[in-house]
Amino acid sequence: MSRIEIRNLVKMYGAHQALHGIDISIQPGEFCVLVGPSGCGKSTTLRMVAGLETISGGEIAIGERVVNGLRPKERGIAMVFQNYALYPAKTVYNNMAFSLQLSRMPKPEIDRRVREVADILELTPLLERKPGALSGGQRQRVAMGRAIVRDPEVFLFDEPLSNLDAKLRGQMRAEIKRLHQRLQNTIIYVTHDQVEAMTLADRIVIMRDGKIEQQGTPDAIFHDPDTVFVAGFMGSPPMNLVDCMVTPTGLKLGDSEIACATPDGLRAGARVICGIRPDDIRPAADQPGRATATVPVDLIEQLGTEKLVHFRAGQHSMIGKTGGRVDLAEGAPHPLAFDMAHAYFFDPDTERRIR
Amino acid sequence: MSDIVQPAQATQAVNEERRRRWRQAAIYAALALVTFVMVFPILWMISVSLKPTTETFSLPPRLLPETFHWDGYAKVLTDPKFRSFLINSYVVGLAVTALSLVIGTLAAFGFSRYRFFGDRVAKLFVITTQMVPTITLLIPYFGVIVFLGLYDTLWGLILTYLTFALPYSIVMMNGYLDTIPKDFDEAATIDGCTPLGVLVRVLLPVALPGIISTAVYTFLLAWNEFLFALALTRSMDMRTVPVGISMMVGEFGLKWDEMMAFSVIGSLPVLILFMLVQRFVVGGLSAGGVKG
Amino acid sequence: MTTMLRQMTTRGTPYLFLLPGLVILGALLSVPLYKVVEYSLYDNVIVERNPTFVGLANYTNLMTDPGYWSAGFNTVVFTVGSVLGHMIVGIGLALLVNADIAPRARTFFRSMLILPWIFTAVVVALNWQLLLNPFGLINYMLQWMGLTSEPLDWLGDPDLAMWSLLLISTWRGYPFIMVSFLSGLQTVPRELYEAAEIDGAGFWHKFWHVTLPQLKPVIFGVALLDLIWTFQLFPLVWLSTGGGPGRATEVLSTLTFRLAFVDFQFSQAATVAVSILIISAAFTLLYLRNEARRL
Repeated sequence: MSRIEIRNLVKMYGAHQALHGIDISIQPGEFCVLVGPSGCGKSTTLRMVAGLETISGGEIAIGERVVNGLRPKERGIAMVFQNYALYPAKTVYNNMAFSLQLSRMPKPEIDRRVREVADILELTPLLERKPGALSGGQRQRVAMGRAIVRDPEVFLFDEPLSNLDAKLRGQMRAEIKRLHQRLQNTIIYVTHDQVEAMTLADRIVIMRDGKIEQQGTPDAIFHDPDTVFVAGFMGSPPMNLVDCMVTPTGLKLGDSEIACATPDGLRAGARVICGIRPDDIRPAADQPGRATATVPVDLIEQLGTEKLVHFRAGQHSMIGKTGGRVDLAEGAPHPLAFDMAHAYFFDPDTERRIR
Repeated sequence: MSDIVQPAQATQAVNEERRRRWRQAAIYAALALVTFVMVFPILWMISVSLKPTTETFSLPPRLLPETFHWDGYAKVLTDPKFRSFLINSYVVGLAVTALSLVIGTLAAFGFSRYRFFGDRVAKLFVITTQMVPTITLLIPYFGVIVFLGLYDTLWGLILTYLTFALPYSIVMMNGYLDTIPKDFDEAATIDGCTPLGVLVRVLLPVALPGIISTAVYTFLLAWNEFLFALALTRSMDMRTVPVGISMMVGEFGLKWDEMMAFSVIGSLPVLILFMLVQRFVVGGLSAGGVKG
Repeated sequence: MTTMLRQMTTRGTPYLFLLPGLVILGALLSVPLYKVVEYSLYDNVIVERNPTFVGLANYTNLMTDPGYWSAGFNTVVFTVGSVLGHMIVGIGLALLVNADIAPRARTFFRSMLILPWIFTAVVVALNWQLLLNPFGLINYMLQWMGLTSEPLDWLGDPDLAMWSLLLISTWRGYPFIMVSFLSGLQTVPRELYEAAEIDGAGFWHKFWHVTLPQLKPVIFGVALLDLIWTFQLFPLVWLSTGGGPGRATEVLSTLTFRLAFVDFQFSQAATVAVSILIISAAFTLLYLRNEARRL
């Protein structure tokens, strides 16, 4: 269990700057998820912590040690790879034992550790198999086992679940969470899947174009986004983000007007980006007393327990939600209630939150 | 729709099946014929090696000799001269294979796993060396080998063949290593391997088919080489199998049974080797451009 | 400080791996190449201790030597004919082997058909001398089928020798093309054939519109390699016909060898060798341009 301090981390590839000064401070035992679209620099950051990429500027400290010049094996880390990278010619046992063998640990000690970890991960019956004879989920567990046997200060996960099918991914997600509760190690976990980020993280770091967009607890990220990007990235279906004009009584959204309170300092006639989650747009009949607008509903997606209501507001396509049993006709105008108490306002130029 | 197949459809399906069978039979027949024609010279070589010289050209020709005549083999196998040809070829072939495999794999690892200043140029240089006409090198090589004091030694041949085999080893092994994801390297680095450890402990076990096919190819190259073996050795003790066979032609003139017996024996090592590992080799040929 | 040192050793790592290989290749190829060019500019090299510098005299000699031009012409015929033969037979057999047959049968036929490629040139030459002998099997078959009335001296008749040589070279060289084309075939996505079948394409349509366009780069690269190697081929020609009868099958490589090791005119031989190098270099550049795109 160690803290990790990343200070003003910079990565250059030739003249191209991939990371523009990243600062992250991870507490001992914290589960930190780096999330963002591909190319945002999250994997690069992780690989620099691992020692697989050189550091062009800034500092990384694990525990109290600055690890910039250290080799990966000297950093007290273990890593789980996206493609597992299990050595195909070695058995599961030897895959897990390899790093311990390299560090010249006594054989009985290696054996004890490998069997203990295999037991935790329910890999004991598979120890003599080769990776080729394992299922995706089993390989994933071996990859984790290989990391765990080393008893590292820090675990690094690089998109470990992206090669699994949806159902297995859910299972493994829960398993990783349980493992973290049990082992209490510091973890840095990279993913592009916001559901993984939300469910696993103690702290989420959202990255974009080599910069940190926002970091905080999942709650803070989801309910208190700082920027348009964060608001749009977290949540599925994504938050509706629409250009509006401020009116004396509320907002003008396409042709409709919605009465609501707007932040102080926004004068009538100002342009603003209004963000509102689909959950906060419901059929007016269920939500008496809310601001309503009658809008043309052009598509209903049945998800089972709920339905997504696609409608148009001006030139914007927006999504609302309703219960799975509510009957709505496609192609007809329908009154929808907007819960404007949970709406967010962003400056259209800086894309930052107006509070 | 009912599940019952209509009579018209049924006959159509039967016709279709019948046509497919015919086509398959035709393909097999064509393949068998073509293969027989292509392999025939080899079969004929074996046949002639088992006939007395008087029957070599007897008509009508028989592929299977009436009685097996082993004199050619007996003569070749008991003659110490032929044994020395074979031993020389083995020594040279094995030494070249081992050396070029080690040196070539190291270089291939460098090419496959690192980006560095000059990597493209170096790679193009290696590919270019595959193209240098050997006949152009013959005259100056003669001078270099004499200068190094290696004329008429097996070392001279080993060094020469190493130069010719290395580019192929590098290109073929590079092709194989490129198919292995870099994740393995990174996992092994984190597990505590040095770069050389990554290569030896993690990549080579995975690249085993590639190593086998590269080794066989290199051995083939060295075993079969003729021009330099002819020019860089002089004494009988240093001759290799191909030169040995070619000298028999002058020496024995019309003793087809002995020449063919030695041809068969001289080809057997590569033939067996090739048959044993041919599935690796066939895959390997495509991994790097390989000499025909 | 240690960080800097480590970074330097890290930077140096790839060079360490390449060092042994590149040193050997560099030394044992660049020195001889330099030497052969040098030889070609002197007279009486190797045989005399102090050869005289003659500039380009050897080259002008060559340009006016009808023997050189005839060898050059033969080389072109031999190279083009061989490559064509390799391509036609190789691709044809690859398609046949790749047909819809049992995998075991395919493996068997494939390994049988590769066999001509693994024999040393001496054995190949001997085999064909035996078959093409006036009293040999091929003449017997031709007479039996009534195609010729008298036995032909395939390797001894100046009009036939080149054809015989092309036959031998085709037999020896097609497996390389076959194997390359076969492995190329495995890379063509199945869906393309299925789509073509649904569009109603037959065998030839699929070959012309799917296989060939997909494998064009492979074919081009392999043909170029084959061309470069056949162009300089020595042992097969030397051992099959020795450049004869007369000079009917003399190619540039056998001319080089003859000048050097039969006539001991090393300077003139070096000059021919350099001319081979120059032409090879031109094709090599073409090949590298193709390769460099893939690097």
